[in-house]
Amino acid sequence: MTVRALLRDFDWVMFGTVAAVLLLGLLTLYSASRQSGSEVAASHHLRQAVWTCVGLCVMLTVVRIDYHRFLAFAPLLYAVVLLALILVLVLPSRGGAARRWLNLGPLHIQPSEFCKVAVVLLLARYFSAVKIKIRRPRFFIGALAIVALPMMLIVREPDLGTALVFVPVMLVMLYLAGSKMRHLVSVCLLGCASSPLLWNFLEGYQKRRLLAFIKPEVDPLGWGYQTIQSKIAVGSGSFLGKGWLRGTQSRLNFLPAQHTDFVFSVYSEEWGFIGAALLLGLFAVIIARGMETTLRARDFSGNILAGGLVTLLACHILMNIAVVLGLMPVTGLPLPLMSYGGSSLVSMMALIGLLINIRIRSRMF
Amino acid sequence: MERFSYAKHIGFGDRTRRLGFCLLILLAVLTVRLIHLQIIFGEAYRRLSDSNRYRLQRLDAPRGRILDRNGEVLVDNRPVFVLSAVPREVDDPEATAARLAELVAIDSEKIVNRINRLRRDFASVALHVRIKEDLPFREVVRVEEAMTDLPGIMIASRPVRRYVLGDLAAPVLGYIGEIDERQLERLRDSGYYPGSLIGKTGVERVCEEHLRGVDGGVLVEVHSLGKPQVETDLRGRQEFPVDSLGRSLHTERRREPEPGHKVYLTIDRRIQQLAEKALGAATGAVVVMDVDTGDILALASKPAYDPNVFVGTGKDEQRSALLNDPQHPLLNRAFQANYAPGSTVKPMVAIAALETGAITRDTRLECYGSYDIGRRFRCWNRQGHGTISVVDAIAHSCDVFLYQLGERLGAGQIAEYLSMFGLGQPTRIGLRGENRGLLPTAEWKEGRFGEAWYRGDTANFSIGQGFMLATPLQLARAYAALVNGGRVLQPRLVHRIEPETGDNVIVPEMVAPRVLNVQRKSLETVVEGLRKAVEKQTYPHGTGYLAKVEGIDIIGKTGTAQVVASERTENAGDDPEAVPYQFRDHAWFVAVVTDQQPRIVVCVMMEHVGHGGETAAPAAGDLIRKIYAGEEVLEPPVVAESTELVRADG
Repeated sequence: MTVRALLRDFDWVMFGTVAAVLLLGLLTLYSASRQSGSEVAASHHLRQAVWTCVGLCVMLTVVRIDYHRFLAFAPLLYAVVLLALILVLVLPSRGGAARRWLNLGPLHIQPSEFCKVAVVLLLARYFSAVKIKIRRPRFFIGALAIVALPMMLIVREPDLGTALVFVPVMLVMLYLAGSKMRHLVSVCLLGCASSPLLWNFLEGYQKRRLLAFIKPEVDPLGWGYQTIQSKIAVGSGSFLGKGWLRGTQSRLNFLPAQHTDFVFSVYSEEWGFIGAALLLGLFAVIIARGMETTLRARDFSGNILAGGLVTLLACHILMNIAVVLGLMPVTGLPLPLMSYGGSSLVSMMALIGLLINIRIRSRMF
Repeated sequence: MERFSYAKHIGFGDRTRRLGFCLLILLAVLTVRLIHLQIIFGEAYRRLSDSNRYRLQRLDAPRGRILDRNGEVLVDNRPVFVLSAVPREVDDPEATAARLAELVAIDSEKIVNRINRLRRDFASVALHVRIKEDLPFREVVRVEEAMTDLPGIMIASRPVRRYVLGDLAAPVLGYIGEIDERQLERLRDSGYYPGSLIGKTGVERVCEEHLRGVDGGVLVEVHSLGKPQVETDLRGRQEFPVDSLGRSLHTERRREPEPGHKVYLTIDRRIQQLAEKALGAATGAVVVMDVDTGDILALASKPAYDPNVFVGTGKDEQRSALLNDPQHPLLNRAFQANYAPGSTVKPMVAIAALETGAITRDTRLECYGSYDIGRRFRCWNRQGHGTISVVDAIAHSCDVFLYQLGERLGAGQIAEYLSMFGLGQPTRIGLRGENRGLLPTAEWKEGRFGEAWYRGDTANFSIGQGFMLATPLQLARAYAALVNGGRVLQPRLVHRIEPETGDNVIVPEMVAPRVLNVQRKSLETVVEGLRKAVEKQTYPHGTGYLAKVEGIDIIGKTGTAQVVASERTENAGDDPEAVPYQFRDHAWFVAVVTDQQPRIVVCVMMEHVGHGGETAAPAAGDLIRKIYAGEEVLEPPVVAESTELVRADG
């Protein structure tokens, strides 16, 4: 595809909106790091800026290559990611009990983030190969298996939140791919019924997180605290916000999560309802645009791939913000394009790149 | 879309639109929530964020108690007043520390450093840094009165470890201390925080997971000038109804701590006390183990120490003294130290000889006081034992008989049989630092000394001298196997674990014993020799005759571990005092009681006291008598100090 054609058909709306979100994210990180007084935190926004550039390059590269190629490589990518996940579990880690990263010199890579996109790619390929056969139990279960494998590895890390996000994404993709409603409903019911059993497999702090949420009197140390502080921060932003760089000190107690899971909290405190609604609006535009691409894709594989990617993105946004607003227990899911974290940023931008990719090629017949 | 479209076929467009609609709804929900938080309650949250802070008050879980098998308390907790700081709220560490130093005896410089360090650590959520524990009541009063000058300082009461019987079973119980950085990195997600206490050694460490309990917490509203005042009711429950200016405080969300589980040891307090007493002034160890189950009834090691020394602050000198004491009181001699077993190995060597057919029960060999293997190897009895069978060789501990067995078996087979009985291997009792002992081989000697294996080495090996090393626990286990039909047991220290309330009893998994492929008659023959060693009271008496107790069938073996072989020690015989302490032999006696319930093995090991028969044997016999007679040690046990609340001086 020629560069001119690329530029002509490029999805500027999507790109512009994403750029706006990225900018807001960098501003927020800058503010958060200014207050925290820690040397490490102080450089968050700079590192994020670097990762943003990397992400942009990745995104543009992804846009140039026909998405069908990515689908073709989906099994390979999946295998690589699985390998990385196994390495994460198996290699001794410095970070103590939480093993989520691979250390490659100065870089920390979190394979679970890339895993999400890889799984969506593989599922899209699977669904477009299988098509109507998805109505048959055997193939339905095949899809479950594709997701279950990385999920189990991620749960072992332990990273329950990331593992859980696979569930809605998988269900939605199955729905879009044409599964029988009956199958979908049974899986849901099965999941609910077996949750007491799965409870036993949860680690102590994960149980406490859930308990903190369901029964507030049972508030375990630290976790319910984050939610309370988050609500105070968000609420205290009121209509106009406290102003950039003026978020009150220590609302979130200098938790590292302030830069990752709770970045929306910091943003809302400073920009108020106006800012928060604006950001939600930007996200809504991105999602809407993605949905449009889903409808417009030129073949089924494009349809289903776009649908899965949009769902992945939407789930992250919705779940992260729900946690910050105190509507959900703390999950550990990052806010796409805003939370600090190279792996999340790059994988989300690759995701955007794929969406743009699909959209561009939809005009060609 | 494609011409013939699978997508159209399944109604992809509709599905997608439905999905879009759901997402829209969810976004709307979030928006509504935003309105709720920011617009409807915006003012309220604004006020909360401006004037108030929430301090997370941790409610420490009482640590699980450790009890003996009968439920007698060995380790529990007592309430104590603790002075702490919340680093984030100490705005001026130097000033605060200086003011504090006027009221309380503390090292203000150390405090300032600690507070400054933690003010930079962001992963700690509102933790409490302990400044001084076990505050005398008068200091508590002084600090409370000066609270307005001390931002970030607070006093709480918390439970603190108490080793009820002082130094009783100290090496088994272990002690607790503050978690170190490495452990903290690993265990942070399990709820440990800088300053939390964790078992360091012994049962405290091994059963840490069960003893810990689960901390609780409560969020207390804090106003800028007032300090939440903790009020502890009689049951130890903490409340924060008002601050120091009388303002009533809002607490949110409280979770009660869950106390740790009770750990019941297999140890019997009475027997443990008797065993510790049995060593008298000597350094050494005593192991009392149930021959049929492997339950450890007593594990004594002297010199010992009082673990209460490790509780609380301000005892650094005493702790240093312990760590640097040349007698190594922190060493658990029952299984962390090893010694040459001496003649105590003879029964096992005899088993090897009987099983391989080198001799039979009736084989008679000659002892004339010495044996020639290149150079002359002596028997302890210079006159010799005459022509005797294996039963007598054991009863009278004839070295020459064993030298001959050694020649017939060779070092390799001796090592093989000894290792079957568990020597040279750890028993996996579960406490850390167990020593595995040493069974020498030709390769080992070559590697260690660069010398070949000599015949004399085999001779020494067969009487348990030379390079071989064993722990009292290993010997106890080996002798139990002689009596219980050849089962080499797994020694057990933890009997069961129970929660403070409720009936969820946890019983540690029983490890199946290793069953030796040894003929019953070999065991019986050897046991006969051991019985004779104790029973034969007339001249020539069995070497263990001083261990005899009326009415109880005791079988046993003396052992004398040479520390240094020299003319002086060899001729010391009647006057151990003639030899300097550190050169005196160690004394062993291993006894098994076969006709009482429970059947027990008692292994006594005394350092530097001379011959086993003269010191360790009577100590073992006396101990056995007292155990089955239900006797108690009459001195009142040392109960560790309780809190100073009662003193009302100003």
